[in-house]
Amino acid sequence: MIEVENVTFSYSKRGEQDVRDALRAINLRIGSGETIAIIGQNGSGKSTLARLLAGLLQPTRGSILIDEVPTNAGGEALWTIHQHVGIVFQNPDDQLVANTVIDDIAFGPENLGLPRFEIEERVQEAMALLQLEPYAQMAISELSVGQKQRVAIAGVLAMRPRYLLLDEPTTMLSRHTAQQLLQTVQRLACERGITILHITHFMHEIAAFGRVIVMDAGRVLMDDTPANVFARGDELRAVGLDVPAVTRLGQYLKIHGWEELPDIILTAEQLKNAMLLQKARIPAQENRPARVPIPTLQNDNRQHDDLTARPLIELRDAHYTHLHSTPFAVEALKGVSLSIFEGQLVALVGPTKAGKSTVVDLLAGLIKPAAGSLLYEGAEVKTPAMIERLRSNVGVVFQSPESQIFEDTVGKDVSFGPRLKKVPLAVSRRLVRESLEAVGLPYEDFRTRYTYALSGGEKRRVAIAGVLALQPRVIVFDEPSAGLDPRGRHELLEFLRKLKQDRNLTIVYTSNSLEDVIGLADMFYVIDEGHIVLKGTAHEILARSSELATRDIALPETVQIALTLQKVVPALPADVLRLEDLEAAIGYSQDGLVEAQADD
Amino acid sequence: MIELSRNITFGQFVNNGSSLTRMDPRVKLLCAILLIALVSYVGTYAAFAICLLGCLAVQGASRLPGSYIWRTFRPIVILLIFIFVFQVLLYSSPTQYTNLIWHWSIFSISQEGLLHSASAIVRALFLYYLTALLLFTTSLVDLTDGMEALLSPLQKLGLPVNAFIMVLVIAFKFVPILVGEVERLTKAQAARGVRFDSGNFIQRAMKIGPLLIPLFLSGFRRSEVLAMAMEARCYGGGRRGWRRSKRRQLHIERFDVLALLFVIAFCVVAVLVNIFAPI
Repeated sequence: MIEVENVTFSYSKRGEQDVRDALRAINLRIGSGETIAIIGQNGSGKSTLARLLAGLLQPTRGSILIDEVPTNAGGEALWTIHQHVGIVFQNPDDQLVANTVIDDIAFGPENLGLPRFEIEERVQEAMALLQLEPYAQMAISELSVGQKQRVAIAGVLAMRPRYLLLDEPTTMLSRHTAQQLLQTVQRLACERGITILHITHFMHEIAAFGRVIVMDAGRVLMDDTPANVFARGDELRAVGLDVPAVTRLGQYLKIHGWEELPDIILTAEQLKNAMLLQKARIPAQENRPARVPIPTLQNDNRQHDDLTARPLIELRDAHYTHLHSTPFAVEALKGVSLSIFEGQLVALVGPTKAGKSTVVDLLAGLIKPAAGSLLYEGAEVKTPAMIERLRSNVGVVFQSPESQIFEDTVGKDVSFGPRLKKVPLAVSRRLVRESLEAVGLPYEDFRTRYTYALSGGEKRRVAIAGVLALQPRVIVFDEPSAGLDPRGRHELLEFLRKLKQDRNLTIVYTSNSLEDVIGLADMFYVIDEGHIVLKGTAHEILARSSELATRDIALPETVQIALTLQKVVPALPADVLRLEDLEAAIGYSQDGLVEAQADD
Repeated sequence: MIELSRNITFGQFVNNGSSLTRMDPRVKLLCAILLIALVSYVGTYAAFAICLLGCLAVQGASRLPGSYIWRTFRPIVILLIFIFVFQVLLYSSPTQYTNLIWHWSIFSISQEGLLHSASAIVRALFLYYLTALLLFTTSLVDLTDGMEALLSPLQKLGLPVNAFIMVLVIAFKFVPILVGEVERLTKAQAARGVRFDSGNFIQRAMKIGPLLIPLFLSGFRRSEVLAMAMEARCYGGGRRGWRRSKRRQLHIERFDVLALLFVIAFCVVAVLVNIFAPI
């Protein structure tokens, strides 16, 4: 049992006035064997809470008891708490100590000073639980992120903890891998009676948990079952969170003809069963296949398809090997061809290590293809002058842009590029003003602010402004949505939509999920193991959804729901991009159902 | 083009299953220490030549591509040339008798200075070569286990050997991480118009400056998380009477004994050559 009594925590060391408390008067009781999801937007205090529970930070005021042992007693008591409370962090690279799988899992038991046979037993057990036996002797650096995260969890389990804290462990994983990981965690809770506290900002991960704690600005806002939490959708949206798409769909359908659905639907499976139940009550009959208007996007990329149009940037059969001629050589690209036309938003989707970042580096002129060619405006990029031209026309917003700020004030950082280009001061100032305003930061207010004092979201905007100030024709966003909470993701997509409309910029967007840009991109390239495996418009890609599933690329939530619901509404198209389209499509079919009955 | 991790290879373990990677780490460390002591002791060119043969034999046994090993020398060559020039210019003989070739103010070039500095550089190169070979063929866990075993007498004297070794291990672990980070920052700057791949050596070095602050910030952040993760897994150096146990048991095989005997014999031969050879 964890008892949190009136806990306040502040990161300020000497009682500085302007530092807000990270946690304010938290009270919690967590029984053994519970599975709890903790949600909240970035900066709401979730991670701080986890660190306090693990005894890694001490409360400023109040007390935390873990099985009646206080976390601030130090010495032996803290040692016991570390044994009983295991914590897994966001980035596995930061927490793996040894360099092979088996040695890392043994690190904890070794620290406990256990005899050799017991270490061996615990390590084998932890590896079996996470299906890591085949990788035992492998070097950590050879594993994928998902595998590393499993090693991190196994390392904690080998300590035989009573409580397992997971601090956003799925941020760096693809949705499919994340689902598998969470299933494993749920199984652990069942079989071993380990209490699970899972911190996340992915709403769809929460359904399977017994209890949800919603945090905002250092306080506990809600503490209830998932269904009761999602019933308060407006309140969730007010604190930058959301309800899963399937819950919204359920609420819509309940009003539009499916009266017998439960108030809150948590999974597509549940929705399907509830719908089947209601359908079964209506006298059995053949559904007349409804004529469902397939929603189409207003794509204007067709105009580029005629052969006369020349792509702005083109890769032809590009090959690239990382760490070429070393024992660590990895063939990242094995003949990639793609064309980017002016004014398009091109999405490059693929699982981790598929070669996306290598393509980004190539497009930005940071590396040269080992074989094949890169063309800018139809001319091959070979000479230093051409590379220079490519670089000055392609801006890149790299992953976690907040760590790529080089100057101490916002104004200096945004003007970094213009200053290097030696543009006149007046022009540079105008560029900084325009760029800052384009990302929604008022110029006068932010120009002189110190970059280190900005919030994560503000830093991201400054980094994007720094790229805009270069006046590129193309902007490449490398996995921009990784690690963002629902509000952050929403703002990012709105921003991209505006960029494309107002400035007619060409945009390249990489991601490991189709969810983000499915309604926004003109052209999709799906990359896997260094090959382009699929290309086409959103509908063309979604028509081959079974192929995507085998490649560890999650389908958009709406498509997953549609596929599940096809058992109820066979005429439902699988390539629905927006929730409204799905609602409309089911609505039509329902009308069909009702009409069919009326005909009898 | 920007690919730093290709050129900074020092300290990386290459698990190619060669007999060197499978050696008992204690014996391997002992051999390495003997060889390092040898190159620090000998001073004649004949002995250096024999040491070079020995090192090449070790390199052969490691089954690593030669080009990969030569590349590790690249980053230090410039540093060594720099040191060599200053050592020659500022050389002062202990005996006062020097064959001066050129001199101005406190700077001079003498035959003795050239010879002395050359052998110092050769020694430094050997030292680097042997350490690089050791690190290429030894995993971090092997390295810690070996060092802990060799230094265990000091542990009995109450020195914090364990903590010292963990610091070393983490420092090594961070080398590739920091190199990766520099590469990432370099790319971010290059994408904003900084030309890293042009200009002379000094111009290039100047461009590294602005990278240092974000580099250290991310380095500190990562080490903070790592420290927390280690503490959470009960790594508590500060706890009284705390001792780690080991999952692995080290075994000395026949190959290890033979290797050690061979290295000892080799050292004896090299020392004899050093004493009796004319140059």
